[in-house]
Amino acid sequence: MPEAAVEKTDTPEDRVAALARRAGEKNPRAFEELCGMFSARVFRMVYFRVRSKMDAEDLTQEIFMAAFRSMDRLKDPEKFAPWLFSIAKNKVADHLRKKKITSLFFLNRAREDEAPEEDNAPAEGQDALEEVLRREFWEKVDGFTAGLSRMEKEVFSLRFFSGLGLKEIAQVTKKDESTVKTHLYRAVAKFRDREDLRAFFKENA
Amino acid sequence: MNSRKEKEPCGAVSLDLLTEAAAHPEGTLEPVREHLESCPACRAWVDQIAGDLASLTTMAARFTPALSRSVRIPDKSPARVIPFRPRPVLALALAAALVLTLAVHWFTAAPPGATPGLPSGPETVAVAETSGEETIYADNILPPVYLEIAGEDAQDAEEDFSEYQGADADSEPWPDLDPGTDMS
Repeated sequence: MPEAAVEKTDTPEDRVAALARRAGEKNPRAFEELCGMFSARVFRMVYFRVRSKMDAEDLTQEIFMAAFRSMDRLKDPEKFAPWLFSIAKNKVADHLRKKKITSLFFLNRAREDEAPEEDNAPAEGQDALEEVLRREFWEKVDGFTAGLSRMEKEVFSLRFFSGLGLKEIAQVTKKDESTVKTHLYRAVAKFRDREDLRAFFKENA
Repeated sequence: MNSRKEKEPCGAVSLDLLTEAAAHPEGTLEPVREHLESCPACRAWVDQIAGDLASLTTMAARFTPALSRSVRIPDKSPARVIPFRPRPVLALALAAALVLTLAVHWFTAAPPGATPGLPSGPETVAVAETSGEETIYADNILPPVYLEIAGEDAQDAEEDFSEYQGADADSEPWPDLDPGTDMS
């Protein structure tokens, strides 16, 4: 049982809130437990946006460090998840902005040389078919999300790639829940109309 | 590729409402929920869309590389770095300081005799070359051009002036005058 074990709680949300409370009291072990619970989801959310494993790992580390430094500013521990994803969203936006600026001056070439395509390659042992499928999947996802508005894309990815609920998405995006619902329904309606895409996901999942 | 048969809803409830039920089952409206309980076709359609969305989530997780290094957190809580955030008061103070600096510079940089902020007269576009003529002006205040008009040049005017003065007292003594000489 870890040192930072918290009082008996009923739901995972209660457990997260209790850990966040402890972490806010400068308890690094409690924060480590939160890292274990959220790092994969945050990484997935970041990866979806930056599409580079190396960048996504660096950013995930930065996001948790920023969260750790600012834990005392989290007023409501029950909102830890949306608060963490807000930090992630801002960090990714900063990263993409910097990348855009450096690309204007061709400064990112060195970085691209360091991190070629194999950066995103599957781990050893995965066969070529899986790699082809992976590429096809992300191409289809990109093709679909290109047809969504910025807000639809944001809400859709937070819902289906990061697994956030509508209330949490509303907190991350700083919009009210009905606005989030509207954008989500519009995005899902576009997804509904793409039968070829749905068939691909159904067949290969 | 698309070999599966799409299920069709009965049509009693709009596609948009059914889509909303698939996207967010917890938020399904009560009449739609009641309809879904009684209509297998619509329920199958909603389940199909919800299933496709779940497949998307599954595949996204499958094709996202695993986080290969764990997140490291320092043992001690670091001192929080307060980022620089310009406040409106600070911005106003900076603006006032800038205005004051410019005003001081403006007053001190004005030439003597000139009113700060007003132009100090017409700009000099050319300077007359007069240094060679200053001697002439000392003997004859008329500039050479007037002498030329009068048919004399500067040299003649100087000679006339010397003759008027008479012989140089140093070089040539005054002639002795007889007491009987008429001086009139």
